[in-house]
Amino acid sequence: MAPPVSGAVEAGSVALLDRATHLLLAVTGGDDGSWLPGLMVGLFGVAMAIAWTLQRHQRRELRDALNRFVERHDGWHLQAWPCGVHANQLVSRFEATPRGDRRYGVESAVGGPAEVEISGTTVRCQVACFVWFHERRRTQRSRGRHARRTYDRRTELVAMCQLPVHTHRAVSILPESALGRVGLTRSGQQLESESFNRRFRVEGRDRALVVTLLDAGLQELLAAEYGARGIELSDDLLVLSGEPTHRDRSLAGVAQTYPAILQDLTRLVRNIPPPFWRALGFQRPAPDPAADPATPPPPRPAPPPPPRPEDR
Amino acid sequence: MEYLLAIVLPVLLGLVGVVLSYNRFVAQLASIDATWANIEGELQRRHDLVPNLVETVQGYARHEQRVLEQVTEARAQAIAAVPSTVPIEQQARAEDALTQGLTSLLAVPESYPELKSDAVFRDLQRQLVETEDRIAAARRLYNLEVASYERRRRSVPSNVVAGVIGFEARRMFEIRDPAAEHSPHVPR
Repeated sequence: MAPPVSGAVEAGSVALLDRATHLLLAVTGGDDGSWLPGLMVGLFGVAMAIAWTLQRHQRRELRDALNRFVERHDGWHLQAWPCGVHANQLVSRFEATPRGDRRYGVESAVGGPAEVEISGTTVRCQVACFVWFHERRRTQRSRGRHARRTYDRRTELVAMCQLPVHTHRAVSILPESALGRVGLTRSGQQLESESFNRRFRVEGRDRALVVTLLDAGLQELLAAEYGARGIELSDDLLVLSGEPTHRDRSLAGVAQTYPAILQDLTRLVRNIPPPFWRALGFQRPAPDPAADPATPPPPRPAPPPPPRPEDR
Repeated sequence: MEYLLAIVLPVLLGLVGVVLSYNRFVAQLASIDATWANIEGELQRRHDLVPNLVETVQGYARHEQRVLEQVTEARAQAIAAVPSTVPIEQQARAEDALTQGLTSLLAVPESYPELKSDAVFRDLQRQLVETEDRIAAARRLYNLEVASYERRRRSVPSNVVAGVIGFEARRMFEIRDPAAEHSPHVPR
């Protein structure tokens, strides 16, 4: 006669519990008091599993946030090469994209076309926001002879704009060092505004181009609003690095900073004085007659007359 | 020996300091002269552009004789103020007068659409604005150099060197920004 169903389940549960106890005893080293190392290994495993799960969750959340940010802008998408420039072409080209000592690269990059105002004219440029990462070597010497080498991962937030003109001579406007801020080791080109000189170190081989770029208005704006940011121009790329002051809390991770850094970038380009663009040979695009409301649209071709009954 | 060192060493260090300070003053003066030469070059270029502009405008707007004469006269005064014997302030005022004249001249095409669309006139206007951009940049560089020189000339201890050697004060070159007045209007 077959045993009752509930009895079979109970017997199965007991067997399962027995097996689990054996397994736990095997892992922890039995019940003779040497179970502690095994428990530690178990806890470490659990911690690793939790960390992995959290990291995966964060990655997924960041990807969702980047996708949501991209959907806000026409023609934007996730990018591997910001503005079509490979990481190998960016590395060491700007202060914001250092080589480091081991790995470097671009991550969380988004970009696409954006309208920026250059010399009073709205121009469509390729713009990208991304995180530049690199690894710095750190050597720790212990009491013995052995030196332990580790690598620190560092990141820099970057917004980049591909300009319609080429800056043949690079210009960099970077935050001044602590000593420079108090006037002890001030290097670079000095300008009229003392508050600007205290905050920024300006380098550029073409001094006339630098003063053309940094007119009184831009000096004031940078000193007031872009205090700890770096601005660099090389060829046709304008790079704005550093953390913005605002965050979009509806997004997650680094994507929270992208709306603000993008806004800062377009505002910066808008405030670059027209003489700078003229010095670089920027030509205003020819006006589009279709966009000018004063110009009447060209006459449409008249529709063909309806066929007369005798033509049929 | 130790006493001798205690006397000689500070004197030597002081002498080295004086020489370094003197050399830096000389370098600053050379830089001021170089930036001034840049300004003069660009001003010269602006003076050279004026006759062509006047001629082009005259071809379309013969009735604007008063404006044309005003510009020609202002140019002559600006050229007369170029030599280094003329005080810098006088030169600045002469350039301001020319800027004012050119502003009137560049307003003429508003009443003459054919002149406004003339390719030669547009090219000359573009060249004028670019030259004036360069004048503005050169003027700012010059003034920055002068400000740095003056700061050193007045601060301790370099003021002692400047006083003993006799480094004279330099004046800034302050003029109206012509590029801001003559750049083409941007339609919004």
